[in-house]
Amino acid sequence: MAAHESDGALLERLRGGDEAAFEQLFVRHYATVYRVLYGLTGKREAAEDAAQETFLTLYRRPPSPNQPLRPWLCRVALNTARNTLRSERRDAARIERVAHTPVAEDPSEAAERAEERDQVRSVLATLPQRQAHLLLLRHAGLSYAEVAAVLDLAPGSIGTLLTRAERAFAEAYVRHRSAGTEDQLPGKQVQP
Amino acid sequence: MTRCYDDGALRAGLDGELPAETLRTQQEHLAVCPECRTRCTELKTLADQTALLLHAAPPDVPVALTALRRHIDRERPALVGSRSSHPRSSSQRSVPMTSTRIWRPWMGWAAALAVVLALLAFPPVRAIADQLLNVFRVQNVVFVPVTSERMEQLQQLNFDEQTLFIAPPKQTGGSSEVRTVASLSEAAALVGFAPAQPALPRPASSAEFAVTDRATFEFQVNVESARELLRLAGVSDVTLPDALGAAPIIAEMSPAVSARYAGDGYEVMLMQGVSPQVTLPAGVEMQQLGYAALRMLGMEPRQAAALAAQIDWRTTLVFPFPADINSLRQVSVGGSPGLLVSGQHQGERYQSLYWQRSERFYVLSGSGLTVEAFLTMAESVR
Repeated sequence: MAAHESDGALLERLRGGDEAAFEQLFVRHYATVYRVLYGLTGKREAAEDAAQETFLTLYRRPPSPNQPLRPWLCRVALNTARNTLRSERRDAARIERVAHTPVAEDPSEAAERAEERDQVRSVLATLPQRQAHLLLLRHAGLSYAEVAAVLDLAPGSIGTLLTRAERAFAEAYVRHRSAGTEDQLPGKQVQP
Repeated sequence: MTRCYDDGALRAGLDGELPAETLRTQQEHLAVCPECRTRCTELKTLADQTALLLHAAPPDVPVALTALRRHIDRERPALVGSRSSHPRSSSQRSVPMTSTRIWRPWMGWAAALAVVLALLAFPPVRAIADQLLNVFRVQNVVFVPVTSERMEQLQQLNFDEQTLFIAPPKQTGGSSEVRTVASLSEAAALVGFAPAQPALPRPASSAEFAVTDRATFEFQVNVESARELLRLAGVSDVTLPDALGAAPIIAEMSPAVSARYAGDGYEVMLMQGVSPQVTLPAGVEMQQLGYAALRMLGMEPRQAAALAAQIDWRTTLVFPFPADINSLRQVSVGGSPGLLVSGQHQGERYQSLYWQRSERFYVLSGSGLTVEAFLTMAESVR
């Protein structure tokens, strides 16, 4: 079995221009970065765009091999997404979109899922940014130490902050759902 | 029974984030403490619910890699350029400019930029705070337009610039004092070169000369703080190396001369000197810092990468200017390219002109003169 090469060793090779090292890093970390971005944007296409920009940054300006890569990538990803959301400038030509294979799906089920995604995103947006990021990073699989590195927090505080963030998220979600149900009632009356 | 655990510790236990020994103690406690057990179950439920809501379908990694590969292949020349120090041609104009006089009115909006520049574009020079004289001891200046929108963003950053440095910059050699001297010839004896004297439009009623001696400055950057600044500014594609803060940055300043002349209705100041020597900590590339500065100023990544590769960062100062300023023009001073800035500050009309000849830079600032008279005076500086 081939030895698992560390991120640091691959970064060292990438800095030397080794493209195969980049691909290994991509395969290793893309899903994590994507998950964080998907949670943040609520849209697959937006998450893919931002993830591609993140890895393009890795390709162009790889960090020092001593630097833990996953927190670095997540930090770049969060900033990329924030910039994109803030500026609302989406230059379609800038990054090539991922070509999608259409997935066969029950339309009503898909609509329900889309609605839930929107709700989750709306609820996250009501939380303080750091709290939302904490949730997304941890639930994308980052360790406490990695989350702490991304958000400049003490690793020992993550358990407490995470619990607090999840409570805030759960409460906001319940509030949002009940408010949404009430809002929707008049709308439903006009449906044929 | 051992003491009860708070939610954070219980959650860390659930996540396997406790050292083995601590975890074992916690589990022993949970076995005998129904209250902690109940809370632990609640925390687990909460975590599971959150995980369910935040769940994302896994991405198609090979497809995403193929798409990125295509993009990289198409952009390869630009990307390769950004990853090497090989100079690349660029449509970006590099022009020399500037003076203390125009800097001052800009200080309000430029405070954040100055901090950035202190660290990233030309660290030693800017970091020595208000010694603006030193700022211009560079061989080249690149003029980077900054939009008012970007200025606004940078102004609104909530950032304590003091935290950028581990300790205040300190002087380790020479003298940073500005010494007043009686004449240019006295100045020449001190600085080791013959300063030029401008032909004045009208006789001066007062003339002051000053010399800044050779001096060495050191300061050490707080990299985390610098990274935070970049984050606040929304610059996500730059990684400042840890090495930046690992050792002090050292700037050795060469002597410079300033002369101030005031006469009937006018006042001018001429500074002249040579560039400083800058030593960065091992493993830090000026080009990388330059890229960060350009991105901070709002330049698009590709453009910043191309320009960063083109500039010789050891001898070049990046100077931000408002993109909508309309009082700039390039002029020729004795055959050398110069940049003229004219404007009004607090009702007073002023001009500033930056040019260079050989290794020497010149900054002439003045008020109370027509542009023509001002340029004529600059021409006389030989």
